[in-house]
Amino acid sequence: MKHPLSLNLNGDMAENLVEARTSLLTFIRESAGLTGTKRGCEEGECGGCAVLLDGRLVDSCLILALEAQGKTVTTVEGLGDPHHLSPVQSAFAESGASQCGFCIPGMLLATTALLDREPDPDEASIREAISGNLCRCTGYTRIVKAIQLAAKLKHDGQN
Amino acid sequence: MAAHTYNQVGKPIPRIDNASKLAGQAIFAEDLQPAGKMLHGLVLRSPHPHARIRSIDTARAEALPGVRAIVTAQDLPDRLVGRYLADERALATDTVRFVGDRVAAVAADTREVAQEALGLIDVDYEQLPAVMDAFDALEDIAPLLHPRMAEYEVVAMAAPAGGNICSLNELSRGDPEKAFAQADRVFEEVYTTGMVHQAYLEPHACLGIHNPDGSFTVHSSTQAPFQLRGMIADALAVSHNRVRLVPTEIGGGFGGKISMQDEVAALALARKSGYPVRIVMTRREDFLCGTPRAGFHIAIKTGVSNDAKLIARTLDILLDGGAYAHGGVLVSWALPNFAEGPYNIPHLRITARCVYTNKPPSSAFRAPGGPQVNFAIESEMERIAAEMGWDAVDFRRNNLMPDGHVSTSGATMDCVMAPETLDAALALSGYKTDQTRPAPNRGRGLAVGNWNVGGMASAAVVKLNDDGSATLLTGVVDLTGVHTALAQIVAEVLDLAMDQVTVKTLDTESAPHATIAAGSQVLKSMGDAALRATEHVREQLFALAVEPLDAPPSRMELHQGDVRVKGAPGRSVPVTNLLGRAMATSGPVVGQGATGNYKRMPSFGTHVADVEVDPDTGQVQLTGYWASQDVGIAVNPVAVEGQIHGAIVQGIGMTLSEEMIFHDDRLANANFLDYKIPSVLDVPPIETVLVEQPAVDGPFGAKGIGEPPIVPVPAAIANAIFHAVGVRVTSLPITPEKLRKAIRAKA
Ligand code: FES
Ligand code: FES
Repeated sequence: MKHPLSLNLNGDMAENLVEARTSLLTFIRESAGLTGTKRGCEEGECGGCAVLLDGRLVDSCLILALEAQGKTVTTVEGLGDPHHLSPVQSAFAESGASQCGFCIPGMLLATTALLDREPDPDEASIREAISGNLCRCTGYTRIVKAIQLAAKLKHDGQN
Repeated sequence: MAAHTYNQVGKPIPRIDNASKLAGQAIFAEDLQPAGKMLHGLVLRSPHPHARIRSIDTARAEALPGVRAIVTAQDLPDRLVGRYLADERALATDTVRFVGDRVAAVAADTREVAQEALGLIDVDYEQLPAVMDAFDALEDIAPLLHPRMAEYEVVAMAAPAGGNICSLNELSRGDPEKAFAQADRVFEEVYTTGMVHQAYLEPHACLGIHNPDGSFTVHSSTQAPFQLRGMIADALAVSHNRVRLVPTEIGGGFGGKISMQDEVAALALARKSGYPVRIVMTRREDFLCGTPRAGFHIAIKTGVSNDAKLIARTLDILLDGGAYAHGGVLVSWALPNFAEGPYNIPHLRITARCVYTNKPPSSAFRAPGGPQVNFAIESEMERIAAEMGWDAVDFRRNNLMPDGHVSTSGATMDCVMAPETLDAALALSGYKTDQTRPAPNRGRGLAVGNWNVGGMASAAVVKLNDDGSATLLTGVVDLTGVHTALAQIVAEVLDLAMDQVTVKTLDTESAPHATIAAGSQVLKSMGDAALRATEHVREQLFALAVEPLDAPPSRMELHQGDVRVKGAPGRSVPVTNLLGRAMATSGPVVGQGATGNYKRMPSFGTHVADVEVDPDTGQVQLTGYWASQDVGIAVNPVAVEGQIHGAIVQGIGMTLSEEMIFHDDRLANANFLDYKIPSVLDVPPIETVLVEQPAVDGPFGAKGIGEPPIVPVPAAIANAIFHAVGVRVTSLPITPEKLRKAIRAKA
């Protein structure tokens, strides 16, 4: 049986009928057609599918779509488009933090969640914040640098 | 450091694909959504490591509403295919040889229906005894995985040697036995390494389409569009132009996306159902069916003289090739060429045997064979120095191969940078041989690595647009940021800005032949092709400028959109003018360039690792890491450094935690919870230094860089552990359990 679902997806209302067992990841990718959120494992182990649910970082593969009923979901597409990258995205670009790019949407959302709650994180907090996001390409070194730069860019942008 | 005088080459230019990837708009294979109806495909895979298929009954599955097509081997021509040895089928006929071997495939309206249909296919298996260990495979009584091996076509490199040995390769020089007899000391040891998965974040995915004209289109997340196209066409028994392979963005490959996976199944389903069919592997399937790094068993014997010279060595290497001859054969073939290590050893014999087992077919993974062999070589160097009372750095220095060294295979090695990278890493880390144990349970280790990078053929086309901007057309995919480097090369030659150059990856029907994106070869192979194509463009522009400038081409140069006479800035003509002239006379300016297979280039790097060991738990914490790498010239230093970081962290994984574990003949850790790749918390601060000395024949002096920096990692860490706690674990990964046991045994 399908159930009506409506939620705020990157500022727009997204509505559709979904099966009770449909994951939020599948809803975002297949029903809403936003493929920036990545399916790396569907077991909550890689962080590729990370999104913000009411501002909180979650693995969308572990959440049922219906659990997001009436809530606000932010995906990578909600951060900034290719022509207007957000400070976090720009910091990743400038730092050479993206290689294959598959883990990057999740990394960007983990970073966004971190900087929203802790604008000036030290390196330990940064590492902690992305410890649930696997990256097989970069060795994380430049991602950590990018997050430090993102904090600075966001900070500068506000002054 | 060499001084660059270039505008683009050598600059830390951001990747040209940043905007699309950072905005989540890059289209990976699973993101493809063809217009109109698309079906979801799933593959039925063998649950047994070795079995005969007595019968397959698909009737119940076909009756399920929403199922559009089911295919088995009956839907395909009777063809054996392979990259090295034609030993496998796109779908099994009568035998399955590993858990995950493809048996049948289903296409349905939804993934859920396809999943349900898989459960309704009845396969009657007769289980056969499985061979799960490379040594068991060598036994006379071992079941033969491929009893008809002698009849298989050798496609390339394979040297089948009977029994379960799908390749036997050996090279030698001098007389090692005699030299051992004369040596002052002889050391023997055995090192083993686990089977490890590339664990790219994007699982394999493809989309198959049967075109109205009967030809096929397949989109795939592959490193090897042209090779894969050939295998798919062969499996379908059609000519190669009838399969158009469209490479997608690729979410990491590291050698694991070269082999054929489910592409033929998707195309057969598309043909039978009349709809495009997409097959996306789950993470579990990818662990079961990927093509991991082979586990090695390495018996190493070394003879030294009292003046700290290596005089003789034998290496007897057994590789677990898995069920089919994938890259394991390539590794076996290549081993005798690089397993001499960075050293000059007068008496040497290297024997490699790749054997079939009932495990996933092993293949290439970043410097295939490199870190395994280096683990043995560099562990031995440290051990021998310790036992002989020698300074381990001096011992290495004493034996490093000189420039112009002639390798076991008879090739002359140019640009040997072994001593330079050793010195650079010592300086960067402040390494002192008498300070390798700064405190109890803390240790510092070093390893020198060597690798031979790349060489296969490529062609490229550069077209000049009517405003003088340029487009590079290539059939190679971008794994490492190499497209940015290619753009830099084109921009450099034509003196263009980066945004005046586009790099376009085309499908196999549109692009000229391209090498595979593997073997650290794209920058050299496609880089050379692109360089020549761009020079061809420049040549045409200069020819067009002879008349207006009244000067010979040899005196011309390109400068920001003009061709001008060198040393006479006033005498110039805009490229756009020349293009106008071209249109009226010779036609549009299009350059082409190509490079053939080329001699592999040696590459060196030295790594230093700091560890702290908890002797009670055996837990190893990396506290610092330093790496030098010989790069020729870094066309893009940020990209190069990124490759080094990534390689080191993959090396850390295979050294300390990663291993595919088989229990009861089945893979027991087919997920990221049980197969632990490093997270950010496992990564120490890493410092790198690039050793630049232009390579004789790389484009702008560049050498390939993707693979070499993984080579010294296991040995550097193992040596650090040895200095920290005085024990040596000779099998990778060095898990806390193994290390704890070794520490207890010593106490
Ligand atoms: S796909 Fe959700 S954590 Fe991996
Ligand atoms: S950039 Fe490839 S997985 Fe992170």
